[in-house]
Formats: sequence, structure tokens, C-alpha cells
Amino acid sequence: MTTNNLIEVTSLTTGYGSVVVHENLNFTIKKNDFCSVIGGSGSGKTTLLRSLICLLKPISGSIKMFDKEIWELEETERTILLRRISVLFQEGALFSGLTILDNLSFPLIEFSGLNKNRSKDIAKFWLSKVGLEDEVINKLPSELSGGMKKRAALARALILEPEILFLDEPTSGLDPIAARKFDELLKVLHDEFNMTVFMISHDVISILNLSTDIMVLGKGKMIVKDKKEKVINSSDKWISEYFSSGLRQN
Amino acid sequence: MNIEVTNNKDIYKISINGRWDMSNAGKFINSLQSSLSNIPKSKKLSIEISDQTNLPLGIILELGNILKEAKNSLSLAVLEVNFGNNDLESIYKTISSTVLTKEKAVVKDELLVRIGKGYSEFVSELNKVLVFICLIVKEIINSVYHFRTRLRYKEIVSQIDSCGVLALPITALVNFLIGIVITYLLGNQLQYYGANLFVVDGIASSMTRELSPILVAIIVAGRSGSSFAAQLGSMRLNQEVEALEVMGLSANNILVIPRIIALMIIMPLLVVVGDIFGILGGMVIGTLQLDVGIDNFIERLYQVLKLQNIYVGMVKAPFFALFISAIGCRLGLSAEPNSVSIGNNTTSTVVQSIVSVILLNAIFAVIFTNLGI
Ligand SMILES: Nc1ncnc2c1ncn2[C@@H]1O[C@H](COP(=O)(O)OP(=O)(O)O)[C@@H](O)[C@H]1O
Ligand SMILES: [Mg+2]
Repeated sequence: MTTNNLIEVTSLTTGYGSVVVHENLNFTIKKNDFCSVIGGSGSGKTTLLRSLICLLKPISGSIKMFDKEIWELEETERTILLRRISVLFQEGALFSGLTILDNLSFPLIEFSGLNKNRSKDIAKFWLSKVGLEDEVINKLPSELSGGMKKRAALARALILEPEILFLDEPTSGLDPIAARKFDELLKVLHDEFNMTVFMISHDVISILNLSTDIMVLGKGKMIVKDKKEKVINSSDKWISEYFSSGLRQN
Repeated sequence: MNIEVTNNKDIYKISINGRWDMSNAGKFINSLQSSLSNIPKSKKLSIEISDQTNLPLGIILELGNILKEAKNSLSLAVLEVNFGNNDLESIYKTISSTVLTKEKAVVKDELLVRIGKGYSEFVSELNKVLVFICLIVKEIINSVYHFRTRLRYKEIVSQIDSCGVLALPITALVNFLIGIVITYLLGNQLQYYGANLFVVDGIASSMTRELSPILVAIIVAGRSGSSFAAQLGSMRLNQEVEALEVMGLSANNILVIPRIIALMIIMPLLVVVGDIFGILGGMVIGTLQLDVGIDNFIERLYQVLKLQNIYVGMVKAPFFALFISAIGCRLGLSAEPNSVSIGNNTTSTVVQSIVSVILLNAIFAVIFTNLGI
């Protein structure tokens, strides 16, 4: 309660087995920040995300979330902490055997003690928020297009109204119109619902539209994390090329 | 974090206080509903939401829904929702105007209809299995005789390894134990006539002709048939099968035929291994429990073990293998791209394989009897 920092990472080293992906990361995410993470493919963005959301144990270092050392929590405390965050995975990760409605109701029924009927209303509400029609609710994920799956997965991530939302390349695979709609949605979530967002993205437009902060990952280390304006105007060659080619492409 | 009801004559007030989040949604709804149930009909009701109260959207949505229901069921004279200075008010207004559609009820079929559908499904499934097998056999014959499509020897060998070599220990163990059990039961009966030695006749012919092929088929169906279905099913889930097809390659040729050929090659050999260990089991129990000396057992075995019976078992095996592998591959390839369907098809593979093996075995019994073998 003393600090405003929702996430505090100090001298974090991550990797798989003995293979180090990055060394000595230090950064903080404050309440209501919208932090975008950029970096070339394979620079370890997903790896960092996985260690922040308790999926990949770091090799060393500390990750504090809501002022708690996440990798030192008891199993039960960790599950309570995990309920305050949500993740939109790169591929959506909808449960392939459940209909869209059941995918969305699942966390509600598990964690809110709501019955199926009540959770259905809420699920439909969030589907309408992410711009999906009512008729998708009884379809299986395999019957939806890529963009629709992403939206449904976002709706599932939002349904418990998390304090921090983690997004792994949310607009990849969406057409430009859908991508900008997705941006608007994220903007509303961030501005009006005060959600803190940690977003991995390659989509320069959405990064410029949405972020308050930008983190740049390079091979094995963090190049910079700062306010958006500072990062954009940075003199680093890679960063200026990244933004200019990103804008040219669009 | 609580919900309080107060009343002043005819005016009832429900105040909602505290910071709620979605994990308390169930609790919120229950306490709101129980508060409402204490309010008599046709009263004035006001809901007070204080400035510090924090409600997530999901709860606000349900609040709107519950109040709508309550308004009708309690025929309230007046219903007000007061937000004070809370900025949730605008959100409440937008959300509670959200119209939620009602769903149509699903009509269930009657029993007779379900039986009819089940029957027609069974017939069409059987039909599909047979068609698939014919198709594959045709392709195999094509590739073997006309060299039109290349056989994938590497893949065949690796399947022989995983379906055959790695199945050896379990095959040996199962047959050995069944050999023990059968010989023991047989010996128990024969002891009354002092005809212990004839257990050798019993175990030798039953193991080689019937038991070993069936046991091996069941093991292979459970081990390899199901794994074929799961492998091909998850390849479909990842669109790997589609990827092969758009490269102009046939999934049957690359995925199905090597598995079928591998199983058809290896299963007769597994049956022979099963024969050996089954009889070995018989020998162990015969010498330890039934006083048939090891020399006597071997000598008798030499006299009564007919090569013909071993061949019968070995001839049946490739046909069993064909059905098991074809069923597994077909159900894998025809699985819907979702985890439930893959799971169901894996189960069906085992069931269909075992049923068809037993049917085939019966057909073979009739044929061999008529041929006098
Ligand atoms: N499960 C894994 N096991 C071993 N190495 C991995 C694994 N996942 C990713 N890596 C490696 O870690 C590095 C970072 O990968 P990733 O975090 O997925 O990159 P990004 O998301 O930035 O494209 C890459 O070199 C990748 O090969
Ligand atoms: Mg990634």
C-alpha cells in the first residue's frame, strides 16, 4: 500500500534451463501505466511475460507484484494474486472443446460463485464490448476467424475485471480496421476503467496510440524503459528505425 | 463490503457499501437477493450507492438485471437508484439499457428417435471404416506393385520401433500372466482325472490359435491405435494436415500408410512373442503347481504344438493390425479441431478396434472351421 508500483522487477535474469534469455532487468510498472514492450523476434518478450505471470521461474532476481514477491508465495496466495491479473496469450488460448460462451463463463463460475445463467449475461455483455455478435456464443473456437478468436479471448481475459492486463501481440493477425478497433477498446479499458496494461506488440500505431511507457528489449538485455515521448525521440539507431519502418509499413 | 436494508414506514432503502470485485460477485448477488426477498410487495424502494462504493461492471450489470426482475415480481411502487457523487452512475445507465437476448430452449429427442439415430450412426460409421480400409488397401497395393507413390521406409521403421519393439515387454508380461492363469484353471480341472499332462495340449493350442492374437490385438489397440488417433488429431488441430495437403502431399500417403504397414508387419511377430511367453507361463505353473516335470512339459509340447495353429494366429494378426491402424488413423484425421473431439475419437478408436477384432476373429473361426484347418 505504500508505493504506487504494481510491478517491481529488480536484477531479473530469465531463461530456459541454463540458457539465459536476459540478464539483470530492472523496471517498475505503476498503477494506470500502459507499458508497451518492443524488441525484435526472439528478443525474449514472451519469456519476460511468462516470468511475470508465474509461468516461468526466473533464474535469479526479484519480481514483486502488488508488493508481494511472486515467486516466493505459497500456492494458495499465488492463486489469489493471479486472480487480480489476466493474460491475453498470443494465440488466444481459448479452450478448444468449449463454446465461446462456456469459455467466458468458465472463470466466472470458477471464481465468482455465479451460476451459469447469471454468468451468461455478463459473458454476453463482454462479448458485445469486444464487438462480437451474439450468434458466436454457441460456436466452438475453431469455427471463428483469427480476429474473432482474439476478441473472444480478450473478453475472457476481461471478464474478472483484472487490475493488470497482460497482452502478447494483441493486434497481430488482425486487419488494420480491426486492429484500430482493438486499440479503441484497450484505450477505453485503460482510460475509463483505470486498468494497468502490459502489452507486447509489433504494431507501431497501437503502441503510439496507447502507451504511456515503452520498454525496448534487445539481445539479452533491456535497452531502455521510459515515458513514451522520451523513447520515441531517443537517438538509438535501432529504435528510430523501428518506429520509422513501422509507420512506413502502415 | 456489505449490503444493508433499512426501512422507514413504507420506504425501504438498500445501501451498498465497500469495494466489491468480481470474485465476490456470487456473494453480492446472494445478499442482494436475500435483502430484496425481505421487502414486502408494492413498497417504495431506493438503492443507495455511496461515494466510496466500488462495483465492477459485471456486478453493475447484474444489479440492473436483478432490479428489473424485482420491480416486476414485487410490483414496487417506486424504484430509485441513487449514486450520490459516485461516478458509476453513467456506467450504470449505459449498462442497464443493454438489452440481452433470450435463448431458445433446446428440444431433446425422444427415446425412439435417439435409438434410430444411434443405429443409423453405427451403420454409417461401419460403412466409413470399410470404405476407408478399401481406399487405403488400394493405395498400398498401388505403391507396392506400381511404384506410383514412394513408400516411406524411414517412417515405417520408426513406427515399427514405437508400435512393436516398445510393445514387447508389455506383450510378454500380459501373455505370460494369462498363460499362468489359464493353465492353472485348466490344471485344476484335469487334476481330478490325473490328466495333468494334458494342460500342455490346452495351453499350446489355445494360446497360439486364439489367446495370443486377441491379447496382442487388445494391447496394440490400446497402445498404438489410440496414439495414432491422438497424434493425427492434434496434427489436424495445428493445421499440419492441411499444410501437407496444400504442399500437394497426401496425408494418407505420408501419415496413414506407414503406420498401417508398420503395424501389419510387426503384429504377427508380436503374436509369436506372445505365444512363447504364454506357453512359458503355462510351463512355470505346470512345473511349480501341477507336478508336470519340465522335461515332460517340453516333450509333450513338442508332440502337440501344431505349426498350423501358430500360422493361424499369425495369419489373423495382419488383418487385426489393418483394422486397428485404419480405425485409429481415420478417427484421428476426421476429428474436429478441438480437444474434446480428439479425446472422444481416441476413445472410439479403442472401442471400435476391439469390437472389430473380435468380429474378425469370429469370421476367421468360421472360415478356418469350414476349411478344416
Ligand atoms: N520453451 C523454450 N525453451 C527454450 N528456449 C526457448 C523457449 N521459448 C523460447 N525460447 C528461446 O528464448 C528466446 C526468446 O524467445 P521469446 O521470448 O519467445 O521471444 P519473442 O517473444 O521476443 O519473440 C528465443 O531465443 C527462443 O529461442
Ligand atoms: Mg513472442
